[in-house]
Amino acid sequence: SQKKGALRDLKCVTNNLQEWDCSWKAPLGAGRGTVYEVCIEDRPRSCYRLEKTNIKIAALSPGDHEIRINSLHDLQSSMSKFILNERNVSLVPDTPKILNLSADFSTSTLHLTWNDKGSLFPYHSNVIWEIKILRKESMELVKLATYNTTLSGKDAVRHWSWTSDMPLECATHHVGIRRYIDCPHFSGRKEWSDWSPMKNISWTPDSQTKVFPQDKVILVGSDITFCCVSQEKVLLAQIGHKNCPLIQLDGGNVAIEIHNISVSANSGTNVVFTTEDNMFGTVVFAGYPPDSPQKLNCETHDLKEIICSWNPGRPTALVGPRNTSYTLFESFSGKYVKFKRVEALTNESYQLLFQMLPNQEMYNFTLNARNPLGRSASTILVNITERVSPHAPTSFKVKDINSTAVTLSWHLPGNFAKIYLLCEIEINKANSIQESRNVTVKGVENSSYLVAVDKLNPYTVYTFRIRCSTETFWKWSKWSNERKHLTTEA
Amino acid sequence: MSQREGSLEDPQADDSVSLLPHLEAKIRQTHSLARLLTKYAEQLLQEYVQHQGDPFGLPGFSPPRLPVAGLSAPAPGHAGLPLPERLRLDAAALAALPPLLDVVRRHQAELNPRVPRLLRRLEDAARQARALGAAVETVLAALGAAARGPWHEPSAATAAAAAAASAAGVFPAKVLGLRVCGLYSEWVSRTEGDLSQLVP
Repeated sequence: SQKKGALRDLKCVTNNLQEWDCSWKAPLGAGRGTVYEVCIEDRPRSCYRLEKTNIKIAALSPGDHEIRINSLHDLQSSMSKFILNERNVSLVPDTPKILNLSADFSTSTLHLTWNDKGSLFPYHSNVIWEIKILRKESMELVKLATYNTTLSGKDAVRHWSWTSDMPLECATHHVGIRRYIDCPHFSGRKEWSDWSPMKNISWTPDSQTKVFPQDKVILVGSDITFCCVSQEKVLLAQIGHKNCPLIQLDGGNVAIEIHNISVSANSGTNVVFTTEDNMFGTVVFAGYPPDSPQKLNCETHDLKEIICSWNPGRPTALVGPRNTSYTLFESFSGKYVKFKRVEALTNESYQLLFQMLPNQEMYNFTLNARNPLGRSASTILVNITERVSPHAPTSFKVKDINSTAVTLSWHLPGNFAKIYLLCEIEINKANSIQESRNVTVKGVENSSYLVAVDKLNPYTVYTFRIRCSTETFWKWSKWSNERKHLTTEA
Repeated sequence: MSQREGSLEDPQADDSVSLLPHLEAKIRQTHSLARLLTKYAEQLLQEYVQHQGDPFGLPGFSPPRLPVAGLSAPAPGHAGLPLPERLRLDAAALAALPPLLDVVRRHQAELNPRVPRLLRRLEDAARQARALGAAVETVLAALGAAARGPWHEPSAATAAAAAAASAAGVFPAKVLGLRVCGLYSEWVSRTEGDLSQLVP
């Protein structure tokens, strides 16, 4: 217990661990002109005379230190002793200061930058920043976030972003920041700094009433807030055919909250705000990101042009400029082709043509799908010579060699010079079982082919047709046209 | 033939103007076209509304009749105007409609690319409005009541203004489209009514 005239409540605070700011309560009855003499016992030449009740001293080393404070007033003196230890000191960091607060209204994102003043702190320490975001003039707290960094002994500009659930145009947003330094070297109490001065951001409405967000694309099932920035009183808000409860914001502005939004029609879901004699609206497109392209297949009819086809998978409900775009990328050559959409077709066919490259048989394709909600991809590695699905043979002709043999000729478009073709000849004779013969022919480029068929019966009507594939079989072509032929008499 | 084929300009002239056979045929033909297009215009308006999503088409959904650059609705007093003046206003409106219908079609091609029938109807409407407007101009000229000054060239400014309104967001563009289809329907049916008074 302190004697009369004794000082009270010696408290020391530091914001950088290098200097302690100690203060005490003046003794009862101490008037103006009181002089204090402060001495730190185990520190040489450390006596200070001052007329105020606080003093800044260099930080003391860990351990107990005796502090003697003599108060001198009207020739009366009173001396108080304190034991000061780092453990009794509070680390209260400096109040941070926001360098810049900006808004990207199109994405409803706030961007915050500040200087962490790392140079003022001797040690590498973890810092916890707390950022609060308040909305409207009534300063409703809408976000309290923490963000961890490390002080590095140098000043560093820190960045933090936040995407608002409500369009930033709808209401004024205020931002403040404070920090807590978790310094392992310091045994005293650690406390939060004060909050920084608030910075705010708001949209400067022009005379026209506006609805936000404008024409946004979102994932089905999302929650979204729409608002109407209006000077006129809004009487009704609808999404599609449903009325929505109005949330009052500042001024005449109102908002509606939509939860778990359902998928939109192609032309989007209308959100309409109605005033006494006007109507304002926006459209939201609720859809899905693209599925990974399914059943991706790449083959060729002619070893000149590769045709990749796929199934888009689940419909995204997004069309037009929001539709999925596809790009086929071939990694060995680095070439790519883009899918050109023909949406008017009811059953849109998904395929892309890729020109074959000289002397390249292996193709590593990646089909990238992308829409405003996301992207996906499928890949396929093919040796294109093993993926030949020839066109149907054309100009199919039969000519006699003799009464038991004929030649078959046909044309097959394509550059098959590097491969062998396997063709199947179907031979039909009236009232007889159908016969099938396979022949292998050396491929050529864009040319006709000729084979002989023997062991036929003289003076007999045969029906021939042919189809081809490749020696490394992938798919048969369609059959050629049939040719009826009467063999000559023996 | 220097003598004008029946003039409507003389205010004291008897209403029952005796018209030459081929002019009468031209008027009948134009009137029939107007009647046909009136039906098509109503179909277009219904189809348009059907593909904009609720609340379009719902009872109680009546967006304000915002002004459309270069084109206004038939004035309430239109029916009281002299017939030539009415037909001249009809022709002017029909001339202003094609670029507006084109703006609507281009917007719908992005919004409803999988509704080819709507897009085709919008395309047809632009062509038909142009054709009907020209036919009305021909009738007016034959009656010596053609509009003074050049033939109503649809102004690029009209289309530009409409396109700007369209670019203000999808919803305003939908409302603009509704307005233009409505105006198209109104003016075609107005033209049909005005022409019906010429048909003997």
